[in-house]
Amino acid sequence: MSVRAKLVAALAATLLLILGGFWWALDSRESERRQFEFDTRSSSIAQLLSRGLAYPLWNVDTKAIDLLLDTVSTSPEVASVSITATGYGRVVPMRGNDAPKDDVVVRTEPIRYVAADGLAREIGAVEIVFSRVPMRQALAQARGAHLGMVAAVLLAVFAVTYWLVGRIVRRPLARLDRSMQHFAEGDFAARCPIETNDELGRLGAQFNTMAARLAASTEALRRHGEQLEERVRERTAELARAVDRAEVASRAKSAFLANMSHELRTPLNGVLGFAQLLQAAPPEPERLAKGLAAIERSGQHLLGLITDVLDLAKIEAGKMDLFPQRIDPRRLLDDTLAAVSIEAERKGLVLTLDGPARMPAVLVDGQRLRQVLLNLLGNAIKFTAGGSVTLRVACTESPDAVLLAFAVRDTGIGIAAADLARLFRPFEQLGDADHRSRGTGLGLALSRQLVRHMGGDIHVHSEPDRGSEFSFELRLPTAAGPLADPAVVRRIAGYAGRRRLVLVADDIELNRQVLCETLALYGFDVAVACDGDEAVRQATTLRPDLILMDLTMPRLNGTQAMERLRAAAATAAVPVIAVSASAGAEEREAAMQAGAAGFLAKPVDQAELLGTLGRCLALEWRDG
Amino acid sequence: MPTRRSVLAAAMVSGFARAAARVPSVVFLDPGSPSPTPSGPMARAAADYMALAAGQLGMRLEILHASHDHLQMIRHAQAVAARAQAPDYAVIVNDKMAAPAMLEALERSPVRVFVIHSDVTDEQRTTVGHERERYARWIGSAVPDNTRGVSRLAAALHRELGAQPVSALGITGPSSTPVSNERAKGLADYLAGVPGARLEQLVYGDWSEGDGERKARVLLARYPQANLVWAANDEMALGALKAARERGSAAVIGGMGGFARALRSLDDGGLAATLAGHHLIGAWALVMLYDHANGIDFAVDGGLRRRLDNLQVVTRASLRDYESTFGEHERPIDFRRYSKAHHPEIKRYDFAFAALGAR
Repeated sequence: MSVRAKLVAALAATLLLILGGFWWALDSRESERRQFEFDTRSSSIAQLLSRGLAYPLWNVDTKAIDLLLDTVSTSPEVASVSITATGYGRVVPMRGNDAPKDDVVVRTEPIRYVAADGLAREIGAVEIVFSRVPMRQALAQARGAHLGMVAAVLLAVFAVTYWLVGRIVRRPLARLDRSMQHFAEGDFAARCPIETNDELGRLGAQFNTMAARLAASTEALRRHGEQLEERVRERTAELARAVDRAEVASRAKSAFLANMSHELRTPLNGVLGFAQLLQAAPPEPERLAKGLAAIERSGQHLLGLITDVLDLAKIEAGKMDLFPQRIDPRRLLDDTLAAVSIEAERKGLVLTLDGPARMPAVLVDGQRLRQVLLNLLGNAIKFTAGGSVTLRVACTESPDAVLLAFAVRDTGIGIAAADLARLFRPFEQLGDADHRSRGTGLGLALSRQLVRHMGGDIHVHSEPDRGSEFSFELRLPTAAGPLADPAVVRRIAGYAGRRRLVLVADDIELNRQVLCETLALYGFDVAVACDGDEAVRQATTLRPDLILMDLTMPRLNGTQAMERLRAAAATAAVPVIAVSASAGAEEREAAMQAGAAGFLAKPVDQAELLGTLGRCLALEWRDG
Repeated sequence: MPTRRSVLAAAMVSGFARAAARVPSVVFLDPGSPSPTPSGPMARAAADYMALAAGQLGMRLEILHASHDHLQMIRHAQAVAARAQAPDYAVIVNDKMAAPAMLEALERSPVRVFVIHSDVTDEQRTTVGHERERYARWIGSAVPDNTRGVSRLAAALHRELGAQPVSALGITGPSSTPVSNERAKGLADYLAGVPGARLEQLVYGDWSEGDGERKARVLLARYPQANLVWAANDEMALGALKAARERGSAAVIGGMGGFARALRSLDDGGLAATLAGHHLIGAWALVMLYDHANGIDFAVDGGLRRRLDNLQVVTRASLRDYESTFGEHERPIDFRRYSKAHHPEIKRYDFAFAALGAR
């Protein structure tokens, strides 16, 4: 049942009750009033007639009596009138009309006359028969009229109220209802139009507020859900990618291991093969020299391989550190070119450096730049049977930096477009087996990583049978100050001055042996310690000139040992060179913090060892 | 339509030189009809006796009937005034108070006006004045003295009752007519002088027999002790007689007029008395006008406004006498005997009924 129907029903019932009561009261009053009026009127007519008739009857003026009776008897209520004279009877014929005779009231009034003598005489009587029927008919008509009036009022009030209720209550409610229905059906934009400031208007406004909040929170929830889904998708994709990467990496690692195994076996085969060959029979001096040279070459190859693999691993792990130094590019280029000129010459190639004669000094890790250039030039020479290899360098200066563009161009076999994608992958060697046997297969991958590390990238332009060009650009800051000593390859026989005592502390005997042999070769006295603790005791006892301290040792590690040495007055001034198989920057930094004078990575390069020793002990080398 | 009847009476001049020299002409503006009607027998009779008198006196009489239409009566007066040969006299009746209008109409003519029967009332006289004043052509008036006549009638009725205490009822004419009160006054005057007499009630009737009967019935019921009933005319008296007989009342009843039916009723033992003489007033007026025309002004004898005490009670006892004069086999009255012109020895006019009988 709708609100309107309820209101209308309640209204109708109330109105019916009120107006019914009103009508009943009105009708009762009207009935009483008419009855009273009838009584009064009939009495007064009878009285008036009796008074009016007094003189005519006294005078027996029948004409006047007739006239009076005519006047009275015209009333529809008067059924009959008769006038009687005392002692005589009817003076005139009885008057009557066709008024109904059934419901009548008889009024009798004496007729009195006061004559000239002052005496009142009852000279007759008037008898009027009044019919109530006209009164009842009039009452019925009035009742009908009242009923009509009440019905009209009822209808009017009902209609007006119906309209008002519709306007004030139902329409706003219907609007609210529609809005709520729309809202419930999912139209979150559904709002109730507000037209009034009454309870319904406030209800609508509250609904709107509620709807807005609900819509907002639903929207937020939806967005949140979407974000969540998006995040899940992203994560899933990332996971998938990670899985892919992991699989790829796993596959790559498997391939890498397989390659490594093959690559390592080749030089080891040379080393072991020749070593066994030399041990089996006393070699002739010529064969001995040849064999040792083959062993050394295989060992060098093996070391290069390991170094490259480690470098690559460091770069991929993000642990490759660059050590920029002030470098003269021209000098670095000349040195690099010189290093490969022998091989080029051997193959009969024209090796050319095409670049400005003078270039400004820059801050760069010269050793790494040289490594890259050597790799590119080496490859160019390797894959070029005849023609030329050119290193072209362009230098563009700006206020505080220099843009160096390097390009290595050859006239070699070139690279097929399909192979260009594989070119920089580790262990991916192009070309025939002959060519392959002469490289680690890591060079280009490492070079690209290094260049990228230095802020550039290597690009390849190649045409099969026409040649290739590898190029890269580096933006390097210009530098003022002394130039770094380029690594100069010298043949050292010993050093000037008294013999120096070097304490070698390492828990692994092979490492101790290599270092002891090497140091002894260059004229140093050597003492050894198997752990940190012993190293501290030996240092205190022997007072060595320098200590080569392995950082990873049992009982007391190198760093702790250094701290003790620094703490003791006797050993505080003894320089310590930290040696570690972990060649990371953190290791180096920690060692320097602990008071190390230098740092060497295992396997220890002889030249590096000598360089560091010379610097720490201020030695003057003697060439051999 | 009013009819015009001229009565040319040849002047019977017998050695009367002055009179022979001139024949006076009179117009009577009769309010009634030329033939008898129930309500107007008196007027009819008056006209008849006027004609008789005019014939005897040698006057030319013209009667114009208005048939109880007073407007017609006024038109007649206007027509008469406009005549080239205007009459010497016009006799009019103040019927329905129409006299002032007729006086006004006739004032601009040479006609002299004489009012009879119904006098110009005192109230009317406040506006029209008296004779020979504002209306100079109005030379005189003559009406019967009803009051004195009725008093004589009441006395006659009283005599019929003998020693019984008088309980009287009166039925007079309409209250609007002055004569009604004049006549009723005669009754009241007489009873006032009788010790123990009561006038129980006086009512106003309409001159008709039926009304007299109705009123008498009720009144006799109202006053069972009533023993005297007077009515202002014979018609009503006859009605009352009928009612009294119905109710078995023994009241003595008297009327006025001396009409033939009343006289028969007297003879039959019905009415006790009637008052006669009204019908002669016109004739008496002609006598006075005749003398006036002959140089004898009635003003010197009794004034201009005359009440003629000429009414006579007729009882069963005097019935024979009366009928001898006015009955069917009457001896005609010689009106010349009452004229001063014919009888210079007459000092005062005496038109009384007794005088008739005396002659």
